[in-house]
Amino acid sequence: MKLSKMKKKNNKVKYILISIISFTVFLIIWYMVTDVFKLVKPISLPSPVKVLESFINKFTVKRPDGSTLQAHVLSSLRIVLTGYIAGSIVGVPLGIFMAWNRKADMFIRPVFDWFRSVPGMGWIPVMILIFGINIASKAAIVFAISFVAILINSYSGIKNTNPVHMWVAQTFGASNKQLLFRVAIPSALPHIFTGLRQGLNQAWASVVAAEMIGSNRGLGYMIQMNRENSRADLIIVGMLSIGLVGTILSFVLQKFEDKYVRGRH
Amino acid sequence: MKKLLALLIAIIMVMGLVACGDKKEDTAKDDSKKAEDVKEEAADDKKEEAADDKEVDEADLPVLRLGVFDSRSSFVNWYIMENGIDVENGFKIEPTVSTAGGSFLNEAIGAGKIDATQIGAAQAVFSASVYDCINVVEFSEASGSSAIFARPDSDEAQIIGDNPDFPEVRGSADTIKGKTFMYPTGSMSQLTVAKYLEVFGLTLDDIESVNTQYGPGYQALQAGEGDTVTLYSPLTLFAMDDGYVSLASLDQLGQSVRDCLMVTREAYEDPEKMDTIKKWIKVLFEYNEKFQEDKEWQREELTKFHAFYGNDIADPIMLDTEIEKHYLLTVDEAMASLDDLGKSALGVGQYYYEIGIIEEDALEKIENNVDKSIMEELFGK
Repeated sequence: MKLSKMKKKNNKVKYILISIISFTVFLIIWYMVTDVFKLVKPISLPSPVKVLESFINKFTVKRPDGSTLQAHVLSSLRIVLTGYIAGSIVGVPLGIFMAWNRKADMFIRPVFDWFRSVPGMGWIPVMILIFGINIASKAAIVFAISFVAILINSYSGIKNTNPVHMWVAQTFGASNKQLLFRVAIPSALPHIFTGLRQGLNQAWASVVAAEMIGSNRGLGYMIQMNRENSRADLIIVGMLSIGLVGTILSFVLQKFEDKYVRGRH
Repeated sequence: MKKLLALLIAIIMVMGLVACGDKKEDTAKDDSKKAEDVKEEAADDKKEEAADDKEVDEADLPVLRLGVFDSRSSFVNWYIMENGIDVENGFKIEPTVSTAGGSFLNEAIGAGKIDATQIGAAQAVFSASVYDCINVVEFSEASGSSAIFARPDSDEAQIIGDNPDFPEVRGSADTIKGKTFMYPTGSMSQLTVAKYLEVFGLTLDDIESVNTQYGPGYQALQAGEGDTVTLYSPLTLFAMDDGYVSLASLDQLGQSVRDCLMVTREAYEDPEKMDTIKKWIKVLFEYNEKFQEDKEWQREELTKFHAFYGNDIADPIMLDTEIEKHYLLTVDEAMASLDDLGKSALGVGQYYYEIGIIEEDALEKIENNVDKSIMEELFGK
């Protein structure tokens, strides 16, 4: 037992080390390409040193896009979490319901199949017409994107419930409700959490599309504005921030899953 | 039975002869057809050879990799390409078309994909200050293309000429204060709004600004959101057609914004490339003048141009508005204002500097990256 724990810890350290090495190699190549050999023009790809400088400055300087980096992050988080939570509240129960009820599946699936094939950007005009140009329309775009992954995974989690578990429960006289809440949903939890993580990643990645509507701040807005202003360094700062915050959110959700999903590890 | 058999054989023989006859005729027909085919093939070969020659000729022509728009700014260039006028004049345009504004063309410059670009003054600021391009000519006046629109029943649409210095401008301080203006922030549209507010002694702090791109902003106005939207041609034409009222356009606010040709530093320092660019400028002004002389023809071709890019604009009033508001400069007009070359980009640049988009050294670059000598060489001082 102790040996297995030690092995697990060693693997974790190994993984962290490899991740650090991978990032360092990436940064070195980037530095060599831009600052040392100057293979790419700084206007196309600024050096990591310049990006780091801009990243640090952006915490205090509002120019040229009107807000500091933390204000952009907070604004985006508000939109993404609103849309994502709404997507989870609708996506998980609906996925379970569709998987559990054949008639509901047959009824909802055609609409869902159409819904999921619409790309995020495609929702912009419709959301403006329905919700206007406030936070609701932006959150609705995030909802439309994250909800799909969440629903699909909840659906397949229930569908993949081990039939042996169902038979055993049925043999002991479990009701339909008990089968769903005591057998199917607990066994589908790893799938549901995978969907929640995928949904979160997609929700966070959709921030650029969502902030095309009436935004005055946010990471997506920051990227768009600095594209207009030809500031490649700040575009990369925006990209890095999206990646960084996305990783942190994903990590938090992973920890939550590790703690609450029995038999996950 | 023998008689019957003999008759049958005779019939078969006769049919055989007839069939042979037919075959002969067929053969004759085939022969003549073959001869015709051979002639046609020869003619086709000649045509193909001629086409090949032309292709070879075209392939030999110097290429101008040009950034263009799907909007009025590049209308004349579109006509030149569509009618092979570039090839007739000894060069070939290889266009990179932007449907997403000038920033895309600046990125194409950064990536080394184009030699020069047609671009509005707002993005020419960055072509010069970030990408080190040279402004060699301004070929159309575009300040009428950026306008603020409001609903026809709004308070601000009812008042006109409140400030006597701006008789065509609608609205007043009282009707505008606190209203929601939708426009892409940090762009020429923001300059339009700021200039509009100045007319009534107001600033951006007196209104609520919402950052929206042109299309979504117009949709939002239609959906009942906000009070005004700042649009750019051809959306301005659609807004007019839909009954929205123009409160002011940039030209009515006394700000000149011109379309420029920004040449990359590499092309500028390459005499062969500059020869091609000079040929292009000559042809462009030749057709600017021809279109200005014959407005009816310009309307026809402008309709085709819009249809080419999927816009159905055939109403003469809309077309005339575009012709008047986004004006093609003639040689005389361009030469008369040659001393001001680059001033329109500099004007926008100064505003960008005031609102913190660019630094002071960028202004210097915009001012210095101008070359009047190309126009002087082509059309005399």
